[in-house]
Amino acid sequence: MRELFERNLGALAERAPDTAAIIREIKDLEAAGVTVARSAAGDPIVELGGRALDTRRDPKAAAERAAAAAPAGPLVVAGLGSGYLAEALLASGRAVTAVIEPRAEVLAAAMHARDLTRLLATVPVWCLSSLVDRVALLRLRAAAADMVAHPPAVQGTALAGLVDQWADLPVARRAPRVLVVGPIYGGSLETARATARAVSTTSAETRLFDASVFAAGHHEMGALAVPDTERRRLQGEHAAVLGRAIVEVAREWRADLVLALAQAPLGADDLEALRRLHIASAFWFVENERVLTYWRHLAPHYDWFYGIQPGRFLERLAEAGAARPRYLPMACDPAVHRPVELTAAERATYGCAISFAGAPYLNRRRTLVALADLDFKIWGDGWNEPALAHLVCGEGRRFDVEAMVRIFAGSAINLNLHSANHVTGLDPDPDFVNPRTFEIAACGAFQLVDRRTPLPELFAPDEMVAFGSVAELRAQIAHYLAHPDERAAIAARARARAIADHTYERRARQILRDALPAHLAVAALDGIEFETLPMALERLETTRAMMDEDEALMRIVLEVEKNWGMR
Amino acid sequence: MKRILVLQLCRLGDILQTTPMLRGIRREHPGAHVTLVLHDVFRNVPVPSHLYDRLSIFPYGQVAQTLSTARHDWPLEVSRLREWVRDLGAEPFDLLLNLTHSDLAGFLCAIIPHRRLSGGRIAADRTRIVEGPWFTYFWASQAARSQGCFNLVDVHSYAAGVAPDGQGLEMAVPAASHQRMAEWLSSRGLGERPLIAVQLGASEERKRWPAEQMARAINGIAPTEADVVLVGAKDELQLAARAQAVLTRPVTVAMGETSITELPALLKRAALLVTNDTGTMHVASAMGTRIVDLSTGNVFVHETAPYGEGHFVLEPSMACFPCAAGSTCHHFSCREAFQPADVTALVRHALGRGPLPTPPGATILQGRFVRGGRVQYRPIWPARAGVVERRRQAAALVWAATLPAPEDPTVAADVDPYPDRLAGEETPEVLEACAAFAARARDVQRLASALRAAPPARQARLGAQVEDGLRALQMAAHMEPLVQSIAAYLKVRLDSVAVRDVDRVAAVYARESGAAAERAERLAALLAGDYAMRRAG
Repeated sequence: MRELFERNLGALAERAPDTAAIIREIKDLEAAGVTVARSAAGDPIVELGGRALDTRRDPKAAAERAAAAAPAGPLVVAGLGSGYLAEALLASGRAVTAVIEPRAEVLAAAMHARDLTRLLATVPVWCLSSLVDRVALLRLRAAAADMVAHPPAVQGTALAGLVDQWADLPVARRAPRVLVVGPIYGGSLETARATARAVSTTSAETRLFDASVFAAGHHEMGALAVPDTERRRLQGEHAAVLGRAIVEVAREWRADLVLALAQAPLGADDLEALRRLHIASAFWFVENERVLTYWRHLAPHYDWFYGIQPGRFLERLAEAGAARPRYLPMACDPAVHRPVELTAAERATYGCAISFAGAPYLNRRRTLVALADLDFKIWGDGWNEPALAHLVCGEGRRFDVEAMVRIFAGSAINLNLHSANHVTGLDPDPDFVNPRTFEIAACGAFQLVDRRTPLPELFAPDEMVAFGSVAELRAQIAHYLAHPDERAAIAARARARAIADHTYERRARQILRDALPAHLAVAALDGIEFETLPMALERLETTRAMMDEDEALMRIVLEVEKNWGMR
Repeated sequence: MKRILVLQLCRLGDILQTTPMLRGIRREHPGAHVTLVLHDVFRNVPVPSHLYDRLSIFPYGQVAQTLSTARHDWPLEVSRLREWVRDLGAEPFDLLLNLTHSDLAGFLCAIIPHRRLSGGRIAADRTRIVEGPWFTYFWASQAARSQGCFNLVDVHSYAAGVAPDGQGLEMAVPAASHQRMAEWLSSRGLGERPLIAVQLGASEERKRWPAEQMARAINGIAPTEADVVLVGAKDELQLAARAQAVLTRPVTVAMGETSITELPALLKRAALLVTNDTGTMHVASAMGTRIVDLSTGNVFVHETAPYGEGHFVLEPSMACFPCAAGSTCHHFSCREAFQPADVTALVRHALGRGPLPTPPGATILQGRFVRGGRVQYRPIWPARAGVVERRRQAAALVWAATLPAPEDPTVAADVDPYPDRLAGEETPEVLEACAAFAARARDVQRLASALRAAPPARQARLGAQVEDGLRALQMAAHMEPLVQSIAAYLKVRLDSVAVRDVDRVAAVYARESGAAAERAERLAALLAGDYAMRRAG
């Protein structure tokens, strides 16, 4: 009996690991009133409070009769009971996309009593309790228009209500529209672009409002020969105009979600305007909350607020009025952040034992001075420290992303030191992980990073090496320079983890899952193939000899679309 | 006739060209409820409200703009259109007049409930059919343009079963627009001298006489003789710039300054409009302003010239003019057929200040209402009607005699539509080819008639013979242009047979082949000098 259950559980874990986890937790079936009896033919039947969940006469024959009357298209089975109906549907060739059992104990009892391995290995079985997640529920609905109920198993449970509502559950008939908004300038500009690319890998229609095209005007305004206060006011008004433009674009395009990155020129009024238009808004604040504090003013106005700092920041966001504060760490873009083979010339340029690439914040300058005796290269602009002058490469200019991935590839050790301008040593508030961590990892390069509180959740100790002091850093440098194989193994594991768990695509999918209406989230995430108008017409033409009103109307719409551009 | 729907989804000029037909419907069916459908891009065209009972706006631009931003939303747009059709009412229209020769309108006619249709429709088997004799004629005339002999406005009236009334197009221009234009002209010092309005644009390149040439023609009018104002839309300002580079006299630019109701108010104050074939031309026509229309490219005077009395058309005398339907021109040589000096002279003549010019490479025509009420353009230069004109008049006689063309004989009773001697210039070969076509059509008529009563086994053989005969008729029309429009009418009509029952199909084939034979016989007789036939027509 136990062996049968374990086999069933193995099959269940393959197709529905979450359900398997619930089943494992069940200790006492009898206490839940669930028992197993035998039919007249000797087949096991699950009973609940003495009530048989399948007929006692011949459950297999009854199930076959019910299956024969089931609709032909994809369907979900409501109520597993002893499992006979689901098995019969499967045997009859029906496309059973899922089984929902309202009581986990009933599923567990059936798994103890019967060999359900074929069913469990073929069809995901859900416990109703898991479907409080509306996206999960609507995924099932999107995959199957029909639901076949096994009444004895459904009766008296919330699943009975779901059976009645099934046909009316919302299913997306179009792709959701997501407008990604970037800043006028600054570090989050690239993050905005990467996020827009990531959103566009889903089935959502994606547009990027690239505010950086207005940067020249913004900077010119900042250079006007007027008092500072007036300049700031004018720049503020310029940003406000962009905010209104974003709302207009979102309204005209009928966006479902406006996803803004840090420093996006959207003010409280703009966000409230989006609310009035029933357009959801989300903000990914990819900044240190202690350095840029304007988030306080915006927190109440975004529907979803994502920060890269877990814990206290999320509490502060809630205190500031954020409806749904969420933690969403930074990420990498594997299409950009990738291993590269260096040419001989590139190796001469970028090859080194240790490198640092980034801006010269105070703590970085002081820390690097303490390493200046090592085989070191520093990349970036603004490095004026006399003690470091001999280490600065690339003529002390900014580097682009293509140069950056080559710096990572050419360095035995990439030093990743989180910035801080108010201290001379390591950042005393290490509550976020910078993008560089993910970027170096995705490039398959080895890095030493200063210790951060959230790091262990993002990378395991054998995927990422962190230091807590300059002394520890020097020791690690010595060790890893002497052990290239260790470096390579750690870097390979870090890259695998970054690509699996820390891509912009993963982050974007998380935001869409949260912030879009659930049925649109399903459409975005599951890549539902929408039927285009020409596809629908082709289908009608091949299946119907004669045109009906629906087809004529569709052809009119197509004619309008074709002719509009030729006016 | 209780409910009539007029589907007009074309542009400004086409909408105005619908107004005489609407007037005729009002006159002949005073109790009928008339619904006029325009598309939303042209919803502001001021069609006088006394011409219809209900204006329904087809949401063309609205649907298109939604789709341009959200292609996946097409089911919503299908719903929007379904609601629009429902809003027209469930009761079938007694008559649906489809004046729009597009697939879009054809699909609409497939779903708007109606008892009788005049115009194109997409049938349930997804083929195009044309219903009603006059729209069948119109579609056929596109295959034989040079023989076209009826203005589109009159075709509309005939299609609606109403007689042309010898009156022009109509527009409703509010007093405020007249007031504003009076002030506008006054503020620019215009009004003392006659005003010539000039439209430099046209909807496509080949219809546009070059702006520089137009400027040279304008230069020929002394500033003391007349003021000149350039009219048109804002997006035509680049044409004004091209003209300005050549102009040596002052002109006033009104392009983009006038609304859809102010343009007619301005043109009302002009003594003359000089124009390519444009919507502006039809606006001037509706305002009773005399027009000099420069026809080049695919513009065909006998179909679309300004509808009214006294307007002038200057067109090239060239074998390839007008361009065949669907053709592409690469040389635009017809633009050289007349020169700026010719246009200047015609403008001065139209103003009553000079003789009729005599350009060697061009024809000048003038429009008149003729007996029965329709408009006819006849050449006034060269003075003597050539073979093409004789053929056109003969064809008009044939079509008017063989299709139901209501006329009001009291209108323009003294203006004979067929004043020329039609016979005498055709070669015997042409007349023989015409007669042979008629004889072959009679053969097809006999075969199709026999098919109706034949046993099934013989029906198949006769059916094949009918098909062979029809193919031979189309081939003959390729060889002899004179019968092209007759063959084209036969083809459009037979392609539009919606019934599948052999007996009824054979009856239509017999009737239409007989009609084609009769038309060819009449045509041959007229061109051979059979005045009895002419009188019978």
